[in-house]
Amino acid sequence: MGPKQSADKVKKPTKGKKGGNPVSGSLKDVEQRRRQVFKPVLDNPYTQSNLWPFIEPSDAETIIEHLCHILSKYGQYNDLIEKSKSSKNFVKPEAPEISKHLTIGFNSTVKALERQAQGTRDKLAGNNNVPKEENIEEDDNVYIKYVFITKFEISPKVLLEPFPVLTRVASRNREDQVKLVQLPRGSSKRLSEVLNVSNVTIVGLSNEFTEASGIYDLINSKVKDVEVPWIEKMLEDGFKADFSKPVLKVLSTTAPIFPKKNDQKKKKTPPQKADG
Amino acid sequence: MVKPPKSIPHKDHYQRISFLYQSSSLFANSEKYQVLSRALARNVDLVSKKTVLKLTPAMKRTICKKCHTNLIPGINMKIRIENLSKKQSEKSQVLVHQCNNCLESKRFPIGKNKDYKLFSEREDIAIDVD
Repeated sequence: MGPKQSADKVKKPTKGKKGGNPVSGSLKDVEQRRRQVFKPVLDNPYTQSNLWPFIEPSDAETIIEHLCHILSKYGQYNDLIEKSKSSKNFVKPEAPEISKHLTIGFNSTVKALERQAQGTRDKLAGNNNVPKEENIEEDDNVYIKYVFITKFEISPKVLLEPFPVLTRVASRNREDQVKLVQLPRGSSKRLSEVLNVSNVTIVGLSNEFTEASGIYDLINSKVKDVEVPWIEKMLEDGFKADFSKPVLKVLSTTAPIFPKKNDQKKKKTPPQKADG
Repeated sequence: MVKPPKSIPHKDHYQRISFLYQSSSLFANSEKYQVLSRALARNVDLVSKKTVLKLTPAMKRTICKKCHTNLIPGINMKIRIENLSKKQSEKSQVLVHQCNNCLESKRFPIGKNKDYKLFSEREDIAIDVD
């Protein structure tokens, strides 16, 4: 393995030099002259396909409208709290019913989903005890079934990457999956206005809030489940897996051209060895 | 202009690493094969170093630096956004990926540059090959 690689390294510079001018040995020159090089990289085979379920733009529009309508009560509550904080007689207004069924923001939503994933974790660990699962459901923490994300308004991408897998893992089972809903551009602003919270990008909603049954039906019919093939394999089929091909890319970069002198030395050495 | 190469030398090494990685993630969350999964993921790292191959950050970030657990969100990883600054300015937001096994965390300063793109995600640099 070792000698092959070194041979490869020697070959590479010759490729680039095909059209190049004769190279002088000065240090300044070395810095200036760089040749085009392609470096192969291995990519993660699991992050290749887009796992986000597609939503028709018109449906997405109706979803965001419904959502704003549902959240308006909570927004009013938030507003009241803000106002009462400034006044001297601080009386905390009564929280609307929706507050129990709602998570706002990245951390609280992810936290809720991670807690829900406990069931999946137990299942994978082999503890298929029914009472344990019941305990989770009976918790006063609600089951977040709908996750709304303003996908186009979140950057950088690292923030979005875990969601397809996370929602799948947080689902109860294959049939009753957590729905991942991507909202159209501009919805972050609308949500922020409705909720009176700045910069809302992620909202989680449980499936037990009766006033929101309209939006549940809409999403259930229009939005497909998240499908992550490799996670599915892991959760359902035990340890049978289809291995996918390695995903290779080449990076187009540059490398410095080294003076010719070094090359000549290398070329000269092997025959000398053969003579001796 | 130099054209990108059609084939890649030492493809077998890439295949080996890809296989190790996939099998590692397959065992990642079973209680019984935790150690095997970690060993496989460790081999991914070792083989790539020995054969001097480049892996994309997307791949390397899914393996814990300390205990080599294959990190899967919701199963063995905790994800949070943290802001330790007094001003709570958006610029000092940090995304934290914490391994549930050894509690080691990876920190991504996401607030610093919102438009940051990895070199492997940039279409002008990374070119697909079959």
